[in-house]
Amino acid sequence: MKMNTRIISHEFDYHAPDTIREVLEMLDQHGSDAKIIAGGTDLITQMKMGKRTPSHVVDIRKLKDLRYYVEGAVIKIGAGNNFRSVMEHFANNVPCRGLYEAIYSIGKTQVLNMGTIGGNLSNGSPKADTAPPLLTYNARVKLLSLKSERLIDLKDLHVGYNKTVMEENEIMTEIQFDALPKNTAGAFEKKARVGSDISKITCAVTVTRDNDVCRNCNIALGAAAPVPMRAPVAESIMKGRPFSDQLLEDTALQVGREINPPAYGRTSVEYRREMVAVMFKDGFKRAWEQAGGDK
Amino acid sequence: MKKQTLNLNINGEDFELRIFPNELLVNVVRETVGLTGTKYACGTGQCGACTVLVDDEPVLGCMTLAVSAAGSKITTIEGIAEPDGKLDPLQDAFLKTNAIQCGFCTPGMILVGKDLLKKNTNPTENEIRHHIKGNLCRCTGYNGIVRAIKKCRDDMAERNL
Repeated sequence: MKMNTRIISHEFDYHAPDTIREVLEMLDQHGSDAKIIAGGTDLITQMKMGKRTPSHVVDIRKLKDLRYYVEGAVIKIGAGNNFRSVMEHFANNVPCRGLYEAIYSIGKTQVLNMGTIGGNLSNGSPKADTAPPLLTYNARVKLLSLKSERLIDLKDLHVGYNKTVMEENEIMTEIQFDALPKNTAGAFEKKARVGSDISKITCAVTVTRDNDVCRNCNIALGAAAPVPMRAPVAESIMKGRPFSDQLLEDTALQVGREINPPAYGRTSVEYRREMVAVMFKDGFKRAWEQAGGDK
Repeated sequence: MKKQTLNLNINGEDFELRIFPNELLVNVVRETVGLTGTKYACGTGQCGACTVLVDDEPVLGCMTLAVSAAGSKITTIEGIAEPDGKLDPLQDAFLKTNAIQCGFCTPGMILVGKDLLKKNTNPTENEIRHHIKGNLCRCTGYNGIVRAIKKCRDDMAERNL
């Protein structure tokens, strides 16, 4: 693969429109020749590698209309918020602890300033760290084009390795999910080669507890399959049952069985299967503790 | 592809530059403007050597289109000392604790370290190590770097007492 990391060798025109409407018009006009840039941490690398060669780069980083939060029965996050902002917003939110920990795990100060939550999801990578926690919240994403607006489940966004259902003329404007029930807490576990590297395997858990009964145990995995995934069979083992160590072991084993990792990438299939079970247990225990129950 | 005019304020000085849209901020700072304190190393956003502050926040110069920084205030390692040459307290702490081996990662480390001390005046060792996670030191001189940031933290606390 062509790789010159010093420069971007192909030529393009740069646009930085002031409104979302102008962005959409530009995408409509240029189709597959145009590419959105927000933080640039994915796109610039792809352009350096020659994987993407758009002739028009449309910068949405300065669009204030994509940077907002709405609290209430439905929690809404503007897709243009950068990682740091989302992390700070959810810093003291116990139910959404998984999302906070996922962004914290990205670690790199500079990338937290640059990368956006919308970019992380619409890039389409199965390793996107914000995807697993949001999947456990049954999140939805809003996709906007000049002619249509649609709200789709996040679980339907990714359709293959680095592939999403997004059309060339669409941008992601919002991520939203229903406010989580009380006695809910979450956790995010990640393994990477070094502190700030891209994930080898990740696991998000969001638990709702009713004293000693596990009302809900939503589990999602990253870098575990061609797309970020939930583990419905493992979830059903735990759901509605009183907690026991044996139940946790059984669920963890099933999580390991349920993933479908590729036989290439940053680590082996066997490593991912073994590790994800341990990571699930660690994450679950922390979330369970935090969820507290009606005491 | 046509050259565009780019207005940047770098270290307090205004520049009007003519650059191509595909030029990266690190190259513009180093080659067009001539401030070579900012380093180019991995080029893929892994090492942090190219760190500059854009509107006071650390970003990676090798992953930023220079045109996207239009109208922003850029601070590089050359811009953090006082105009009379008096070093920034963190630069001073790096010198006093011998936190520099080959020196290639130092500009990035100092800018990120300053960012931490601005946001958190009393960081723990773990918080320091977490904040500099995106900056690699190939000499593996992390202990010295952490020591320097701690010293700067303690010096600042002492002065405020």
